[in-house]
Amino acid sequence: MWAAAGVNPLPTQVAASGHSDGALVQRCQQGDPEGFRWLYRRFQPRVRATLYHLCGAVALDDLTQEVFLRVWRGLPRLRQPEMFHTWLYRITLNVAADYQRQCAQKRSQMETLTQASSDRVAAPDWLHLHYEEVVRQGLEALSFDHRTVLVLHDLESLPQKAISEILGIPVGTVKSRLFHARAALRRYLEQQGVTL
Amino acid sequence: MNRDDDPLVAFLRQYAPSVPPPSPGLEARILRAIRPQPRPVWQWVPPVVAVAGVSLWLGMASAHLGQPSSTQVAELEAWVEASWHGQEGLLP
Repeated sequence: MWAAAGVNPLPTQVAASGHSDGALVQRCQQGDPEGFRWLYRRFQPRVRATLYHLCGAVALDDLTQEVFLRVWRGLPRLRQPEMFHTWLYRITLNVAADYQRQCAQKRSQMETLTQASSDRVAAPDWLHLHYEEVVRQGLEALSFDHRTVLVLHDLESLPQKAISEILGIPVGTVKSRLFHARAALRRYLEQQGVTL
Repeated sequence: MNRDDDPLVAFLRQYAPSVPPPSPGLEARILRAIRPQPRPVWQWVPPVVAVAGVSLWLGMASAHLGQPSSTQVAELEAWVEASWHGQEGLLP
């Protein structure tokens, strides 16, 4: 779909497993766990990054697992293997949204754990760490809808058309959400003393 | 993209929080979860009991249906006895 439009945000990787994405999807649809291993290795970093930017580090492994289990269970019903990317992001965002709803019930506990998790990151560049923390908090301050569009567009580099297909909303809504998300984030960064 | 947003996007990409690596056993855990597991023996018990119960009930019901009641047996015997001796009304 995106490739046909001249845009392929997730370039097909053949070298790692010797199979194209479509071939791997078909192997998985036939119930081949080894094909699924390659599919996991190929897409895990993007899925994980998206989940991390949307949900934080606390349950990252569990959320990643949930995404790939849903993928495995749903693959036999995926009629168009070329839509795999869109479908995968949809599942990822559904898992993230489910998690957000759960978190809303126990937010204070989660914030404590997230803080503890962030403290585990060790690096000598304190200014870099400080900015990372500012960005993390800025993303967290956005609504889930705005954060989703911003993460997919600005961090995952997905085109707006792809995001509209993933979320099932018009491109105009994507643009609008992106505009408001960036404005809110810019205000937050300026309040934190960041000069852009 | 609005050019005014370029510095913001560049800043976000530069300082996006680093994604923590997955725990070493995550891939194995996921692959284990997708492999079909043999069904434990205890999970076979309820269906087996249910099938046996239904079979038993059907068997008893059919046996009961096939067996005439004592009244029917008596009537049949009376008819056989009467027709055997050629009682009136029973033979042309």
